[in-house]
Amino acid sequence: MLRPLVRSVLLTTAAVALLGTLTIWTVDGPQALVSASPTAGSDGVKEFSIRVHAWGFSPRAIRVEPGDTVRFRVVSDDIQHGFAINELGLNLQLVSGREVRSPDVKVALPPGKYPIQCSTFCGLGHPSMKASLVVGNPGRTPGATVPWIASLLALAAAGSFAALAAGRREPGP
Amino acid sequence: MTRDLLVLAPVRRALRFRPFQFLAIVPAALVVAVVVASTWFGIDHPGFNFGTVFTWVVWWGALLLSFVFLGRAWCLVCPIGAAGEWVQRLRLWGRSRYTAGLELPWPRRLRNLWLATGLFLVFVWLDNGYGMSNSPRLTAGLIAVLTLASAWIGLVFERRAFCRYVCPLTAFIGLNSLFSTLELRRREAEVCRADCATKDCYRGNATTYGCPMGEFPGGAMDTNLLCILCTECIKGCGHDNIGLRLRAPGRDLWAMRRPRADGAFAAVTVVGLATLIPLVTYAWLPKVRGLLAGVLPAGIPPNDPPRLVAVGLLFAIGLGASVALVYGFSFLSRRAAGARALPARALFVHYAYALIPLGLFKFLADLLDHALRTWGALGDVTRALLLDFPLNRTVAGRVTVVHLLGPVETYLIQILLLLGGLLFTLFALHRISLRLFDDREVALASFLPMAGLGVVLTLVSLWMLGAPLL
Repeated sequence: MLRPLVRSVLLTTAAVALLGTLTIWTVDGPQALVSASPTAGSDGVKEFSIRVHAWGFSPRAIRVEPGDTVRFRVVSDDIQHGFAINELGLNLQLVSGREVRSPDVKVALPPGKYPIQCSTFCGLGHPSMKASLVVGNPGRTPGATVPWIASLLALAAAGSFAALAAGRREPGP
Repeated sequence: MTRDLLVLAPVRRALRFRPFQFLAIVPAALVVAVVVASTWFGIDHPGFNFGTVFTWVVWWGALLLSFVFLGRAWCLVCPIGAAGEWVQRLRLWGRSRYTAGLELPWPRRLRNLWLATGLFLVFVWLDNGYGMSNSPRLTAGLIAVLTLASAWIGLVFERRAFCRYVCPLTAFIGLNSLFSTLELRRREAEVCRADCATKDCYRGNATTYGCPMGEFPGGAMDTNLLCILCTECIKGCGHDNIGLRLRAPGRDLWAMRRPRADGAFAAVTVVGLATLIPLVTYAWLPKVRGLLAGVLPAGIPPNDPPRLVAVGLLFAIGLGASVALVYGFSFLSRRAAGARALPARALFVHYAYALIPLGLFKFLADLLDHALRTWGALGDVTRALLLDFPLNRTVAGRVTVVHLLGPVETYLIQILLLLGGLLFTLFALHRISLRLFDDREVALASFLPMAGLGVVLTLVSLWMLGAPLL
């Protein structure tokens, strides 16, 4: 039989690793980057169409290059939201079902990932209502390691369960 | 270490001043009146309306910070609760010999937090399904309904039955206030037990009322859960045996003598609302709404049946998952400790309270982000309100973007907040485990699974907040 502390460590590792793996699989699917394709306007402005709903943006990532001039056409599919990219000085207030068009904005930002956020309190999921503005090539980001973390957690869970099972078979003192 | 603020003469004089609470309520009532006027008559867009922007940046922020430093201080100044008390007492601050109310006792079966927690969940569903906080008119309507309910219950039932048993926020405010660095308690237990025959703090006397929340400050009250800091017991105690003390944060979480199942369930609900419920809703709402649109008639949001049902369904799943997780980890904790005499349900009830800092600090992290994003808008809507005070019909032409902190700096502060919440939770869990088990190794064995759950919930919050940057 295992000592209480060893049993506790194994049980905790197994449960936490299993839960972590499940959570990553649940969240990482919807979080996967789906980039918008801009339509090039006759004036040379890259135009992005974005749909907004509680509590997310579609697409979840917009890719632009440093120096691009961009314009956003944003529609809320349900309640009233905001569309804010602070780094571009944008904060659009949206009304359900009506398209709001941003002014043309020049992207004078270094390569990186910047948050696109809802700026109108819209309920419990409001703090997580974000998308990404990807400028240029931001390089490898910590998010890329998530599948590896999920795999390691799954391995840890399996190992802990195996150790627990082995411990149960051992005769007590 | 504690420090009694009532040893300071100005503080003692102020809190014993009979109209103290009334004078504290007046400014809050004036602000609420402006919020109601602007939300009812003003622009029907939450991003342009002073009432909604103010409520979800300033009020919400002040409320969350008050939990950390001042306990249920909002309840001290809340004009909604005061409305019930005023119509019941027929006085704004003096002790009345008459009452306009029937003074009926609150039904025995409802003397717990179950009803308030249920109403809180209904409130959250309405908020997220119908977009109540997203609609100025519905915000005004909610304040009006709560005020009428408070007045009606004040006329029928004794004391502040609305604030204690019905207000949808009472469990949320009370549980988070367990963390507070301020507590109102008796000073010497022996004085109350042996020297006090009148129990004025509970019963009242010719010049003061008994505790409006039905608590017994000189007796069983050992947490901030239901203390609204009205100072009535300070005024009424003939032995000068009530103290208002500064203390280390979170003490109630592990020091409460009799944790109850209703409070534990409410605690899990609050923590779930900060962590798992938004996760589930965020991940699946569009898909589930799409599936339900095949069987339910679609409407125009917010009156869209598939969306309303989807929000309710996902909330139920998220809440069920939260309860199941805390119960499941309590079960593991029992198994790990080999505690055959202690059922998993008992561990659930004890440990659930310790998770409160996780929820509170997640709410604070959320607020930080929202306040930084909408700080400019607060100035815009305030200017617009002043142009048409208090009706707020003037549109703030555009929304000013004020860049107070970059996203990386904001996220770093959020990480610190979430880790702070985790540390407080781990400390509380450890203290509870030491109280439950005499053997330190067994206590540690029981503590570890719950600590693991705290770590997972914190990582989930970190991922949710940082996703666009990672």
